[in-house]
Amino acid sequence: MFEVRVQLTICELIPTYFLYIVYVMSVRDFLGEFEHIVLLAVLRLGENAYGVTVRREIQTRADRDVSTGAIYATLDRLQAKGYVTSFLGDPTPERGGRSKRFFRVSAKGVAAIHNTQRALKQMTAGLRFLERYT
Amino acid sequence: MSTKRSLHPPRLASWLVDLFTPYDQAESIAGDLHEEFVMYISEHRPVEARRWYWRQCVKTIAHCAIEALRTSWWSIAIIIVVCQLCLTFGGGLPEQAWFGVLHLVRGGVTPYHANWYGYVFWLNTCLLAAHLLFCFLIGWAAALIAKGKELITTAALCIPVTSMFIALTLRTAGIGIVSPGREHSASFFLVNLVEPTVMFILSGWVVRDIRMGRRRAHC
Repeated sequence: MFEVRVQLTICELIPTYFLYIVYVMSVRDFLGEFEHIVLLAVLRLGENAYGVTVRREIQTRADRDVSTGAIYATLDRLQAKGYVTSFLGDPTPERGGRSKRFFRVSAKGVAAIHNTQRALKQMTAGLRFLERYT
Repeated sequence: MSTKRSLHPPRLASWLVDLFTPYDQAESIAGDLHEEFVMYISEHRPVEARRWYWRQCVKTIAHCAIEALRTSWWSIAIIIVVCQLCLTFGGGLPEQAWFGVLHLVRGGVTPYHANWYGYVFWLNTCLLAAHLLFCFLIGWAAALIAKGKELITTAALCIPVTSMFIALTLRTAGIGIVSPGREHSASFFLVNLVEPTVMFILSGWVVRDIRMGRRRAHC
């Protein structure tokens, strides 16, 4: 009974602790518009985030046709900042024997998304776009 | 045969992508483009798919080039300035070296005395070869320094030369140097300004190819 209680406590603590890390790690990390979109696409795709799927996700959800080069240039920049990590998969025949590079969002990346979205929310709070500015 | 060929992405486009993308991304970018081509060709005609592939490759190369210039513009600018200084101040070195060799071999006696035209022909050919080699060595040095961005650096190295060529061509056309009987002036500009461009690109390609081959062998 005691063990179960301890486990529950840890499980309850993890999200709070994670959010604390997210908040403390980098309060000043903000993303550019396209970086934000790419990072969200990688986050949405989870285990299956690589060049082709990220491109398709952006095309489907954001209605933006971007080139593979733009995706990789942005992901490279995000990796240099520590927002994503990458690893190579196995080569497959449908890719001409070349391997995929998979991407994962790091805790710092999650913090950057959180900060950017919070800033956007604060900036847009109280603004009634459709009613006042169109 | 043609159907089999059309099912594969254009080789030239794939080769260009391999040359212009960073080392660690070259394989995954080429693989992504290949995978998307296979998906695209199943829904469209082969001609459309090939056209689409070419468009994607050009866009990808442009993005990679812009990103490389944006992130390391200062190092590329330094390389361009140093190489231009070498070209300006060392431009006469191939002539000096070649005449030095002639002087040494023939003991100061004008060679081919009996066949003056033959002498001029071989002299010009050897001077052109020496110039080409000199430009190739400068491009080679620039590509060696610019690790991972060989072709982008050597292509950037061509910008001052090409703009100089265009400016001179416009100027000569404007002031009438390229007039009947003086066409040799235009060919002189063409040889002296186009040959570095070709040799720079060639040297960048050779260095990149050697490095990629080594990396693949290592992997």
